[in-house]
Amino acid sequence: MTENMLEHFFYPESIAVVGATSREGKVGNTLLKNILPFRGKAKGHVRIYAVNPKYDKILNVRCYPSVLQIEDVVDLAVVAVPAVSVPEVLEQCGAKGIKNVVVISAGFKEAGREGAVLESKLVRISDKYGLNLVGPNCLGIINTHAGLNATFGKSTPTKGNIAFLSQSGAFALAVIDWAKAANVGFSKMVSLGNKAVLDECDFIEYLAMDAETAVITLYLEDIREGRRFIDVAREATKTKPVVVLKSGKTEAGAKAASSHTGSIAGSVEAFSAAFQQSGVVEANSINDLFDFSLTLSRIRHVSGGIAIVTNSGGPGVMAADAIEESGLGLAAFDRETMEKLRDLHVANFYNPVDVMGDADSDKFGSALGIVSAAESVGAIIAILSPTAPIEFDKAGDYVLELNDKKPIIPVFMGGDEIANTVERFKKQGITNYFDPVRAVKALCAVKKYSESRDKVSATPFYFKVHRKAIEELIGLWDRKEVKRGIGVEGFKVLETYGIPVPPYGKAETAAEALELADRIGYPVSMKIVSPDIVHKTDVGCVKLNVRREEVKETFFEILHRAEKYTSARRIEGVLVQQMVEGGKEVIVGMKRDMHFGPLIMFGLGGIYVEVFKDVSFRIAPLSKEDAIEMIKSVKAYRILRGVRGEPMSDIDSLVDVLLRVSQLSMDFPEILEADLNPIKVFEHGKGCYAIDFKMIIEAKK
Amino acid sequence: MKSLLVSSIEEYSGKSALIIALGLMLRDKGFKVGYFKPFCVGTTRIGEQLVDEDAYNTASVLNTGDDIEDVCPVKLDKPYVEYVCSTDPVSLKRRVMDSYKRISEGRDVVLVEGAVEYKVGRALGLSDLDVSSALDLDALMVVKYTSDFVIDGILIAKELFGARLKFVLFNQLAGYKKAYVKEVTQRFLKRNGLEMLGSLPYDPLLAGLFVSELGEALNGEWLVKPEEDVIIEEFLIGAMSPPAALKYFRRVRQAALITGGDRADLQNLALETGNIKCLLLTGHLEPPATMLGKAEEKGIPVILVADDTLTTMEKVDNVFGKARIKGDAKIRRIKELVERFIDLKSLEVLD
Repeated sequence: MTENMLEHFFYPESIAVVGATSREGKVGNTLLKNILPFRGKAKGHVRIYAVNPKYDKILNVRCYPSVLQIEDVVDLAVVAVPAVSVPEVLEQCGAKGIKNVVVISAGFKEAGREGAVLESKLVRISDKYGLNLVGPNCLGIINTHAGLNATFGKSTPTKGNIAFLSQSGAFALAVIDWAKAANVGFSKMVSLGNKAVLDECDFIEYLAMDAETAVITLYLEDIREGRRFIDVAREATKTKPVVVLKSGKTEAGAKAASSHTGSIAGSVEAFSAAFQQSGVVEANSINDLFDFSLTLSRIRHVSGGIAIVTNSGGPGVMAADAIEESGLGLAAFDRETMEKLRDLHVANFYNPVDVMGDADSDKFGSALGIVSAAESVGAIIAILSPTAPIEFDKAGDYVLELNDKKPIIPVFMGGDEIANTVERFKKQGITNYFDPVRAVKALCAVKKYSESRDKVSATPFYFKVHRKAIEELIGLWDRKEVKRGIGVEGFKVLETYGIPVPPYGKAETAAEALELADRIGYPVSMKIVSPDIVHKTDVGCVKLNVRREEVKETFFEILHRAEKYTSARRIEGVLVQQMVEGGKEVIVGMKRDMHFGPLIMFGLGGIYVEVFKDVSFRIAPLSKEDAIEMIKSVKAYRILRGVRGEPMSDIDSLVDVLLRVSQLSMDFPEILEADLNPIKVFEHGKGCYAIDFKMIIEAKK
Repeated sequence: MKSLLVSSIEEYSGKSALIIALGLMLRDKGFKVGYFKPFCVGTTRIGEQLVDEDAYNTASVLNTGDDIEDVCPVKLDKPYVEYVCSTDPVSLKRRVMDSYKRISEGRDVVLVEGAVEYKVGRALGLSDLDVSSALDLDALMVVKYTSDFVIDGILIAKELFGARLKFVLFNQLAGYKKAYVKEVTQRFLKRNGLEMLGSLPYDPLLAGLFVSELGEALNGEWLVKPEEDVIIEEFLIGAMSPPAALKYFRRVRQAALITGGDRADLQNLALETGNIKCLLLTGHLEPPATMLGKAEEKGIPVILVADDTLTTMEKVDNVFGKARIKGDAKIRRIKELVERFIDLKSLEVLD
């Protein structure tokens, strides 16, 4: 899809309103009324047509029985007819050569089985004619800069530089109304509806190139094309921030979303990893969504620490706490700055700067001036309580004046007293916060964005592997007599992918076990091979340090124990493996997400892993940088680095394993899950060994 | 004319499946094949006729064209004890001999299917032991490999059958025991005058149920009717969260999901993954219409049942593993398995 094609949604030269009506209060009536002013606002000459067989003229607009009778070329059709008639309308649009259609009508997938059938009809017709379709079941689209409001909402938002995409029409409607009161402006708005044809990815792609948009803000309930989302968002975040509020993250939320839209929940980890890897800023509430978006619309980067200037101790402390917790740093002042502040007679000339309760607006402004000149300061949080000497308007002047020099987030605390100043801030696109913590969170979003943008987007790593060998193995699993859960055949996969495993073999009889152990060398470890027994150690089906004279006896003992847990039919035999001593245990895993593909996991191993959940996730394919980041972002990294004089573990070998598992997951989509648990990693230069391996292969459809 | 008695130590061991496979293979080789089941206990009424469902199915797959009254000469139409006390064994035996004579006429091979298991029918003189001596038949024992102790059962049967029991075939053998059976058990059987023909693996397709059979067994209401009658090989109970369920949904094939009608999240996920071929919704809870729309679009049948999930699973368990060999897919599969895993050279009937 080229951006040219979506351009016509926002800058059409001719619009047909299908389903327009003269009856007050109807969607088709409001829609036409909202669209009509566009005629005058747009630069060129815009033609607007109504379509409804019942009328000749509506609101002084010429009305046609169908789009086919319109003699003119039509750039955009906005459809608000009953759901059952939409396929026919689309056919007519296709025949007429109209490429862009917004289907407002509801009664599709969201409404039940007949609706679902109708919606698939829409998709088929769109495919046939190559239609770009927004909706169905949506509010419409808005382009404030062109003066186009193709929605049935009551109001139009003011101009701004935030583009807003919403999967919920009702939420979009609420946001428009709120934005008007809060004086928040938007560049473009799209209510995505059921996303039958066009989805968030198409619009992110377009908005990334849109000069009037500084921030792309999204409310989403699902992401169907996960891989594309990552690619598109990563590209967009290179030029502008993308902020997302994704609902349905909990089980209850997902259930609600599923009955509501029929969407399928992806894993929370996958969404977070996807957002992280594509540089998307994730918001967890509506407040966050707009705090982050508004802040990012004027501040893209903070170079340096945060300075706090306040006239009251308490809120200053709150801000300092929040900064510390968020990982942002308080700026350290240089000598010159401190001297200037001391000369100003402030109570504290370190950061946070306290100008004291008796300070007037000028003193506060002077302090702001000194701090904003300091090189170590990246942004300022300006906190004011309504003390007697403070004139907020004057203080506001200072903020507005100095804001160009260093970004300032005002935290003017109060109600009526500050109302006027807050309005002035809004006009300049500056949000005032009552709560210093919210100001800090917003700054934190800026930090996240600028960090991810600065990160070089490295290309994924590729190893050469003997693909054929794995294909044969997978072929083996497809045959009925081999179970889909996986035994030692899995080790062959690891070996083929260059992941080190200790020498091993599978024994089905005691005699075979002894033969294998003799070949491997003593002592050996012995483990059950059965798809039914996952936690082998828990049920006594793992024996370590087995000597020659114990091999046969151990073989029988393991089988005996295993048969208490599962039928002999589900036991493949016993794995005989070289004993690996020492090393620290880590886990590498892979899980295939419905929407995003392979999700790679890294964490410290051992039996407590499930308690601490100290794990990190990334979506494959991984770059080397991703792999390093994954290892460094778990708390247990300190243990791998070595504590109390321990040698450092061989991190490079783990990076290598992560990259190879990432590639395996990309090469073989039929592998649904893989677990290398544990991997024993030795000191630097001595590598690592995958001790156990488990994987699940998708059944052939 | 050659003939072979296919007997078993336990019920549901796979006699019919084996006979179907052997019968079809022989027919392919140009032999005229007959099928005979002297003592039938699974009687139901099909139209006017009282028939043994199992034998009826086998006879129609093999399409022998014999009168079903000859294929199943003795049918249990009253409680067994009642039957034993009220019937004259001599006339029963005569009936069996007469039918067998008619079935054998013009045939190269007759495959004789034993009763439920080899002892059943003894009180009437119609057990496999009696039949094998009366009709002078060599016997093949189909043994479901439930544990190592099955060999004891085989030894006792050998003692009772004597020289007529010649062959043993293991069914549903899997896992590490395969190696043992091949290396150890085979030798042991040989020492005891028995020849092991091989072992058949457990096969999910053969154990599977047709969606129509399932709907019937559960007495359910079709919310979405199947477009084609597919075979369900596995059952999943959906109680977990969708992310947790996903891996199970993907690793199964030809599965049915049993879940509450209110679990739209799992139902949607199941429709999306493609491996789940049927939804069994429990608790008489109507699912959301959006889901039904999607199911219809994808052609996945949806059955609503009044029972709760647990009861439904119990009912499924009851019918599962007792499925008959019917439909092209199952027939093709059993033939493949027998061709691949059974050494038929020793079976003289196939010469």
